[in-house]
Amino acid sequence: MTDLAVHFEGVGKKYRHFTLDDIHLELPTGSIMGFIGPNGAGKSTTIRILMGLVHQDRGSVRVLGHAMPKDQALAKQQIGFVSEDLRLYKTATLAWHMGFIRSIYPTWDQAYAEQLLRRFDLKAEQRIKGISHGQRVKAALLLVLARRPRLLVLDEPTTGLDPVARQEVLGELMEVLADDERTILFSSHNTLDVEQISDQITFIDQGRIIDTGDKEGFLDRWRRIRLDVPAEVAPPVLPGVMKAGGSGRLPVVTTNRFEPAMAAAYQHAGVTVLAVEPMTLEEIFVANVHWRREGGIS
Amino acid sequence: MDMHSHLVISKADGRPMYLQIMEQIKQRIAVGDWPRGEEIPSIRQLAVALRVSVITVKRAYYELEREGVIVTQHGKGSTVADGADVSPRLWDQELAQHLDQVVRLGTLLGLTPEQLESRLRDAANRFTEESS
Amino acid sequence: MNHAMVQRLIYKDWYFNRFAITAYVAAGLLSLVALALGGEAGFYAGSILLITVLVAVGAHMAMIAVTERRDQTLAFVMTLPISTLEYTTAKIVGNLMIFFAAWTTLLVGTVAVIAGRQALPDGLIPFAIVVLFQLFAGYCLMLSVALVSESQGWTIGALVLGNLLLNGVIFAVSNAPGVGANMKSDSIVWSQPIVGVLWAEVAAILFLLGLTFYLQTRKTDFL
Repeated sequence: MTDLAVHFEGVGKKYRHFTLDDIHLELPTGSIMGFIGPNGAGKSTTIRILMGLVHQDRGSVRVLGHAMPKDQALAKQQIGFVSEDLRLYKTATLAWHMGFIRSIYPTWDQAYAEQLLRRFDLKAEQRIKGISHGQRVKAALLLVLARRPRLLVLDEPTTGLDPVARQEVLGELMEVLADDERTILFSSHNTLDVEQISDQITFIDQGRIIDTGDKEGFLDRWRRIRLDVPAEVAPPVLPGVMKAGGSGRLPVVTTNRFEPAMAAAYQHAGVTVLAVEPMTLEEIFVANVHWRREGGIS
Repeated sequence: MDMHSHLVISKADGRPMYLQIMEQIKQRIAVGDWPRGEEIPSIRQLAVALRVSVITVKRAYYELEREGVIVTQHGKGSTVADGADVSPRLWDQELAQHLDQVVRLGTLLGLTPEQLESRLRDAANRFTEESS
Repeated sequence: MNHAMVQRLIYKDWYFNRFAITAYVAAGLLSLVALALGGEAGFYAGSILLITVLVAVGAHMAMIAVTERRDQTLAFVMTLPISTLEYTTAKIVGNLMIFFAAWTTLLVGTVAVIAGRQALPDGLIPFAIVVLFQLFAGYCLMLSVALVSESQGWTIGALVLGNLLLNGVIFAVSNAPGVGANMKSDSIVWSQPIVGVLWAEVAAILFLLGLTFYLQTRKTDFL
């Protein structure tokens, strides 16, 4: 019976111009969840609530078994957080930060830290002020990875990194999961990365979770179907199917509950199925948002 | 023996990742790199080595076990099934996929099944002539 | 309360302001020397310098909280295994300790100089103590506003207000009935106005610090 590393129930937070509403999130220990959403959807707010940096107005938040924000000091012993909102001290060096973190967390692994310095191509003696954005992200990741926390919470960990650095980071994140007691939650615009390494996916838009589930399930359920509809034929309206584009004669539809029986249903009605195509996570997400905003989803 | 470093996943490949993994594992077995009865990497180990989600590898292993290619003992890991009969199944699947393609293209061109059959026979004859 | 963490946070703040703190310490010592050795001019120069150092230390240390929010290192600190109570405690205690060191120096130095020198009537001592406690209260106001508002604007406003109150107190007390005459004599008199204002100042200090803790624990946004 896997316990949950992260459990949100009915969480809400109201700001003047934005409301986070009824957030339910379940992240089992040992898995990795990708959090996808447009800018301003509420990804960062949700993550901040998880970390106790923002307190929710409603709902319960449990992280590693601890109630947040009440027991945040205990929870944060085992959580590593990296985000663009977080800045290191400009006038200090990476080495100072490493020493500082090391003095706080007994789980700090100096040998691993030095290995990461090499892998991420960082110089410990360099001041934070002078380094590029990509270097800063890697430095923040190093500080968090080297103490081997049970939960990693990452807000856009690969954004702004060059492809080589991205692969390094993905590699390190997967290494974390070699231990099935460790969990990762990360938000990203890089849907390719999310698609590759995530076990669970959660889509968020306009302050609400619009879909959540395991990745293989998403990739299985969603399809793009290209149809050829002759002039005199009325295409059947199947449940869970929405028009996505194309012309009147050659419409393209997407569905979130594909079954082979669908193709048969179309053929039966005189519509030719030209192709049934799988969709990338990015395409699924965009379709999902589009559906929701058009009011069509069920 | 570092078994997992040999597998390479292609991102440009349009097929689902779990299928790619299954195919490559079957190729290893068919070629003899992964001998029958030998223990194969755990789901997590392979996931880390390939930088692919655990759930995908889990699915690949599940399907491989259903096909009788590998055997998983709960809590003990997975091994290549003794009677793993890989080669024909691998090619059989590929044939099925290609046949679906052929039918689809034929439909687009407006060919009847008989016309398709005749084209297939022509192709088979050409192949036999060229290889002899 | 995780004392080790609070201590680390305090040392961190001192570390990042080590140059400024050293400079203040040096200026403080310099002004003490002027107070003790110089003549009339030395006393005035020394005390003005010391008061300036005190106000500067107060403002500088209070600004640390504001810059932490602006530089976004506040988020970094709040992801460490601490509660808001521990953060507030570290900020208040760390700040207070620096200010208190400077303030106590000034208190002791001023009393010693007034008592030791013939030219300065001992009756000045109660008045001097009222002024010093007012400085302390003004500092607490600034620190509280800095921590709670995390805004540069509000903190400067508090600085200005504290300064106005200081001048107000100086004026009101020195012109209060009976006090003026006592200041010029050599006897130390704790008259009603003096004692009354002193109690008010101490109460204000305790109230401001308590209010800060209370408001900080009710905060819901650290980013």
